[in-house]
Amino acid sequence: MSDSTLEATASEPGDRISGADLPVGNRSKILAMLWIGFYTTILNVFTLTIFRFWGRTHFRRRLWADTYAGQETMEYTGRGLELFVGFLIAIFTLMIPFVGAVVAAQLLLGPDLIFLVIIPLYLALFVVIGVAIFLARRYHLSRTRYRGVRFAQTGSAIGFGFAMFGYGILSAITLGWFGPEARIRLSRRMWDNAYFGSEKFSFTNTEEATKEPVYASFALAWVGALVGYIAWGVWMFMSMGGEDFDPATTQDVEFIIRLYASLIPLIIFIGLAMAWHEAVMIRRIIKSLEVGGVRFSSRMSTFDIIELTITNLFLLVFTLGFGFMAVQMRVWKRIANRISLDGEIDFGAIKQNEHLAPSQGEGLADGLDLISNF
Amino acid sequence: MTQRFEGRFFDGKSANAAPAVAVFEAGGVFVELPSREFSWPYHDVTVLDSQANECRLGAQSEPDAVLVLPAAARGALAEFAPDQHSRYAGVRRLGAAVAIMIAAAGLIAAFLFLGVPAASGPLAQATPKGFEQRIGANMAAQIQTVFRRCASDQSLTLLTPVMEEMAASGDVGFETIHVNIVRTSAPNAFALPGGQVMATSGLLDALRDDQEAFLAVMAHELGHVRNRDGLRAFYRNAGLGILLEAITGGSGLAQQAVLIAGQLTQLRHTRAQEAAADAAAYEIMESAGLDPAALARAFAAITESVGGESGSEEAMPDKRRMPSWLKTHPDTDERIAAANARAGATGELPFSDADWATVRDACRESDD
Repeated sequence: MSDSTLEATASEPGDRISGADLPVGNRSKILAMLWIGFYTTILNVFTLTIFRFWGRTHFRRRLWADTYAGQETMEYTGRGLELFVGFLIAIFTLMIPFVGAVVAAQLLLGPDLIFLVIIPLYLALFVVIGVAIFLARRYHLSRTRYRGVRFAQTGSAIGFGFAMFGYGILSAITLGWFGPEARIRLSRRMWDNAYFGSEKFSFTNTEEATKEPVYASFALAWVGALVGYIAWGVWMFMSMGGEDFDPATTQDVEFIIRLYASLIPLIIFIGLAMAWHEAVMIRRIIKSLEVGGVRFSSRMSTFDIIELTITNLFLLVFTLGFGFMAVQMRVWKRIANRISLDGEIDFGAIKQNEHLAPSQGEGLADGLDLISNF
Repeated sequence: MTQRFEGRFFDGKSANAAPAVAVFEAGGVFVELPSREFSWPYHDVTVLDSQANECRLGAQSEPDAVLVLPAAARGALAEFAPDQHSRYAGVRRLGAAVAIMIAAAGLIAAFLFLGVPAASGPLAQATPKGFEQRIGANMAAQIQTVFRRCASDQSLTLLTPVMEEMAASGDVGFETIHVNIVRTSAPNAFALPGGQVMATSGLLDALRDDQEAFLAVMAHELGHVRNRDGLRAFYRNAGLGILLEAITGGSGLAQQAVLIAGQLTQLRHTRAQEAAADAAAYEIMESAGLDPAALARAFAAITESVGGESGSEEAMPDKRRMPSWLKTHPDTDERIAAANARAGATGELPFSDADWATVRDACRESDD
C-alpha cells in the first residue's frame, strides 16, 4: 500500500474564509493554448469546421481549470456535442428562416420595396443578438463549477435583448456618449441575476466603483477616435491625389493595399486612446460585484491594456491566426490576475441551487459564433 | 495491493470541502470522509482534470461531486482500470469523434458538390415561369446597379422584337424577352432567369461588322433561357451559399453568395449546358432563317478581340477579359468546328444596315 497526501488541507465544515486568503488568478500556459488553437485549426480544415465546437470546449475546459480562487480551481463542464446541437437548432430556427426571408424579399419584392422587409428583419436581428449573448452567458455559467457548486444565470433573455437594442439606439443618438452607461447597465442586468449556488451576486454602485473616471476616460477615447478618423480621412484624401481621385476607376490592388495599410496606424492610435477607458470600465464593473459576503476588486491598469493589445496583435500575426485562443487566454489571465477579494465567505453556507439545474440546448447562441469572448 | 491518497471532497450539495482519504483497490475507489464512507466503481469514475500537482475525479452517478487528489492518483486509476482509464482512452475517444466528423464533412461536401447541382435541374423545371420571371427581373435590376445600362430606347425597340421573334420560332418557352445592353468593355452576353438577356457593349464592339454573329450569340443565350440554365445556376449558388453558411456559422456568406449568384461571374454553366445551348442556338438560328455557322464567326471574333487567335497556341487570349462561357471551356475550336458543320444558308437579315448601325452603336450614342 502506498500513501500520498495533498500539501494543503481543506477548509473544515462551516469554515469562514477571508477574501485575503482567496487569491484569484490564472496559471494557463501560452504553449498549451497555442497547441489547442493549432490542432483546432488543423482539424477544422478536415471536418469543414465541425470540430470547432469541440476545440472551443477544450479551450474553455483548460482555461477554467487553470483559473483559481484560493486553493480550488474552476471547472468547465460543457461539452462539444452540446454546442454542436445548439448550433444545429440555431441554424434551423433562426438562420435559414432569416436568410430565406431576406432572399425571398430580394427576389420577389424588387429593389424599391425590399426595405419594407429588410429593415424590420435587421432591427429584429439586433434584439436577437442581445438574446443570444444572454443565452450564451447562461450556458457558460450553468457549465461552470467551483468547489462542486454550479453558477447560474436567471432573468429574461428577451428583456436583455430589448434593453441592448434600446441602449444601442440611445448610444447612436448620443454619438456614443450613452455607451459607457449602457455597458454598466447591461453588466448590472447580467450580474444582478447571477448565482453561485444558492448565493446571489449583486451589482452595486459602491464608492470604490463609482470613483472610477468612466466619463473622463471616455471623453479622451471619443476625442482621440475623432481626431484619428479625421487625420486618417485627410491623409487618405491627400495621398490619393486630392480631388482628382475617383474611387470607381481606382479599384486596383495597390489601392486596396494602401487602404488597409493606412488602417494599421489608425487602429493603433484609436487603441491607445481607448486603453485608459477600457481599463476603467473593467475596474468599474468588477468593483461593483459582490457574492456571499465577498467583494471583488480589480487592479487592471491602462498599461495592462496597451501591453496586451500590442503583444496579442504580434502573437496573432506571428502564429498566422491559430494563436487566437492564446490571445483570449492572455486577456482573461490578466483580468483574473488583477482581481482581489475582500470580506469573508462561508462556503459551508453556500448550497447547490437545485432549481437552477443546467438546461439543454443553450449552446444556441454559442453555436452561432455570436459571442466573441471565449 | 492498494494505493492510498489523501485529498478533499466536495459533495456537490454545498461548497464546503471535506478532508478525504481515497483508497484505490480492485473494483473501485473507496472514499473515507469524516462523516461517511462510500465506493465508486471504476466504470463510474470520470477524470475531470489532471494537472501536474493534482487530479480531480468525479462520478457519473454523482455528477456534482468532486474528489481532489494528488496527481499520482491519476496513475493509480490507469493502473487499476486500464480499459476505461488508460492515459490514451481520452485520445482514442476524441479520435473516434474526429473520424465521425470527417465522415460527416465528406457527406456534406458530396451533397454540396454533387447533390445540389443535380437537384438544380429538376427544381428549375418544376418552378412556375411567372416566379422565374420575377426572380430574373429583380436580378437584372440588381446587376444594373453595378453595370450601367447603356442601350438607348431606340436600339432596344429595334432589338427586342427581333429577339422575341427568334424566341417564338425557336420554342424558347418565354414570350417576353427582356434584352439589355450594359457598359463593360469585356465582350460578353448572359441569360438571367425568366427571359432576361444581357449583352455587353464590348460584345457589340467585337461583332460590329457582323449582325448575324451577334444574333447567333443571342440565340445561344436564348438556348440558356429555353433550358432554364439561369435559374439552375441560381439554385446551385443559393444552395451552396446556404450550406456554406450553415457550415461556417452564420457569417453572412450565404447572403453574399445569393447576391453574387445574380452577377456575371457566377453564371457559369457546365460544359454540357453550354453544348446544349449551342445546339439550341443552331435550331433557333435555322428557324429564324439564319446561318448557324455565324456562331463560329462570333466565337472567333470574340477570341480575337481579347487578344487571342483561334487555332493558335502561341497567341494566348487575355483570359480575364474572356466571357466565362468561353473561358471555362478549353474546346472553343471544337465548338467553332461544330458550328461550321451546321452551316446553312442565310436568308434575309432582320436589321437593315441603318437599323443595325443604331443597335451596334447603342452605347456609343449615349456617350455623347
